[in-house]
Amino acid sequence: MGLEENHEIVIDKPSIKKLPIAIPLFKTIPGNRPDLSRGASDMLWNTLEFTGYFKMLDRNTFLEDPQTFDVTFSDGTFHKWTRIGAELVVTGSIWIKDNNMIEMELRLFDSFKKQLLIGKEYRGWIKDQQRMVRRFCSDVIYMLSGNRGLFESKIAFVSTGTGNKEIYTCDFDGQNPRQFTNDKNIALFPAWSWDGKWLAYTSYKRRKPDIYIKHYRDKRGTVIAKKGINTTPAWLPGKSMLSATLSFEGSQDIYLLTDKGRVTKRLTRKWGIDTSPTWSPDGKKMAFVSDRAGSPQIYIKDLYSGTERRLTFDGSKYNTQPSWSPKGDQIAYSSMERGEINIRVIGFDGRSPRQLTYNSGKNESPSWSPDGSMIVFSSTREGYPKIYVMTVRGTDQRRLLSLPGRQTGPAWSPRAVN
Amino acid sequence: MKRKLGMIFVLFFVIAGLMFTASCAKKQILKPGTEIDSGADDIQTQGSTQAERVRRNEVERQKALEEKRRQEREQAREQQATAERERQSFEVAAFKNEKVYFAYNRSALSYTAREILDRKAEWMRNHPNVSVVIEGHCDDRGTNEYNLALGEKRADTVKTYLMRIGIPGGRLTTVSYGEERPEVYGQDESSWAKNRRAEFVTE
Repeated sequence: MGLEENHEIVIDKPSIKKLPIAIPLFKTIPGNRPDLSRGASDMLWNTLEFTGYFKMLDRNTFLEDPQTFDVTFSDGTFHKWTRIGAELVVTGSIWIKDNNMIEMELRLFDSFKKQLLIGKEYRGWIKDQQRMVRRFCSDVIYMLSGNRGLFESKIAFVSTGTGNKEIYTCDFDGQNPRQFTNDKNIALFPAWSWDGKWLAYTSYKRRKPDIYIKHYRDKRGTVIAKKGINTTPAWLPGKSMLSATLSFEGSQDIYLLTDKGRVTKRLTRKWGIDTSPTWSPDGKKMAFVSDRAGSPQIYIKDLYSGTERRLTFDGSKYNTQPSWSPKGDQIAYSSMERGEINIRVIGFDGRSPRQLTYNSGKNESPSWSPDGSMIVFSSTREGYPKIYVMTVRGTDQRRLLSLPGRQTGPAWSPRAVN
Repeated sequence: MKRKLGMIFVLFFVIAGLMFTASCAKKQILKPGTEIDSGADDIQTQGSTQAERVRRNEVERQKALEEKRRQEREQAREQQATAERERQSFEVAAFKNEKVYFAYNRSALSYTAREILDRKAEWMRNHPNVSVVIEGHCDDRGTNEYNLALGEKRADTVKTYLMRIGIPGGRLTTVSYGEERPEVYGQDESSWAKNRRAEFVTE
């Protein structure tokens, strides 16, 4: 149960156990604010639990009174925590000033090494407490895993709640869902630009499938409305360019365009269907779907050499909807076989293929969190398709949010969306 | 300009001519036979009044008959026009309602499909002012992305065939709806088969 000799907690390996962590209620000064004490502490609890890295210890087993114990551990009383199995402890204290201002101190301790790992102080309005908590959690995750960006990211998806398919967005943890389009027709395939500032998507607003590029905040933008279909936008990492499926030259192929809608290069040329592009994080390779071999399979194109090689080989299954991990090493995709669709992950070189969902209906449209630790997808395991998340290991699969209608096609933003 | 003047002259003469013949007809009705001789004795006067009454009744009877016939002709014409309109909208409906179906994951035209398209082409030749939108649809197996592309392949195949048998491409537009507008919502082979289709919408 203790830590290893190398004094490092690395929680990014597939087989690692979850870290037991204790998050007692926060101390408030003055002491008569149980809403803040519990509210902020629960927020932190939920945020860290979301990552799937931690085993959250039950508060009923705690031996200390949250209002009175020393949150700075200057008395060294870690044994009360190690005794119940906590390897990590987070303590918080909130000073409540007048006119809704607070000062929040948050500390992360390694209880076995009796060490303070992170100590931060935040000042702001009471209503900013979620932002303070999320920032602290970002530091915690960065320290433990080297990953950044999860808690500031957003997820875009398609929902039929209004009766039509429209694009919606929500926070990384499913909170604050918002309707983004109101085209009252069919909207599909949302895709975030690499800086999180633009959303591209396909809409039938003008009675045919065109790609709209809209600024996330003020909705200004461009339309790509070439003859035929304009679908599956995928932004090139670090550039103001995107690839998309267009058919204006007679067959369904993938093209490269500027963010103003100018076509710069044709990327695929076969007479069948080529669609669903996804970029490697260095922008040098593109995975996509092609039916050139008879059934839809995933191929990888090297942009420099131009070569295209096949990644998935099981012809009895349709392998589609590839999504390249921001870490660059793996590709998630959906694999359809006899009425069931499952999420699978495979190394970009074809190594270590594994299946992450089983016996749970249709699981489609995987998309990676910006730190490569989680995958969002849609699943019909409860009936109508809803948005689910899981760790990259396939654990902790749960529904992200509850909205009326069907939710499909989720896309996780590449980084913080402001 | 000269032509117009010429036309006005002709019209003038036609109208004048008509007026002339009309006034002539009037004069004929007032012929001596209908006049009453004020100097005749009672029986003679009564007799001619009787005859006049009979004649007047006969004229009125004829007029009523003519009016009835005119109304009947009018009705028949209207009925014919309605029937023609109904036939046309039935044809348009038939044109729209008859769809072309595809095999799973394929966009090729079957023999039946081509027969249906031959009929559609015939109808389009008889209605040269009509343009048509060909919609390509898919069943919901497979992904939305792939099905949007497949739906377009289906619509394109139909358009190519119609052009090959002589319908100008300018009268045909294609749009793909992928799996987004299913006709039926079932998860069985017969429902899926109904959704793998091309539809025809007249503009």
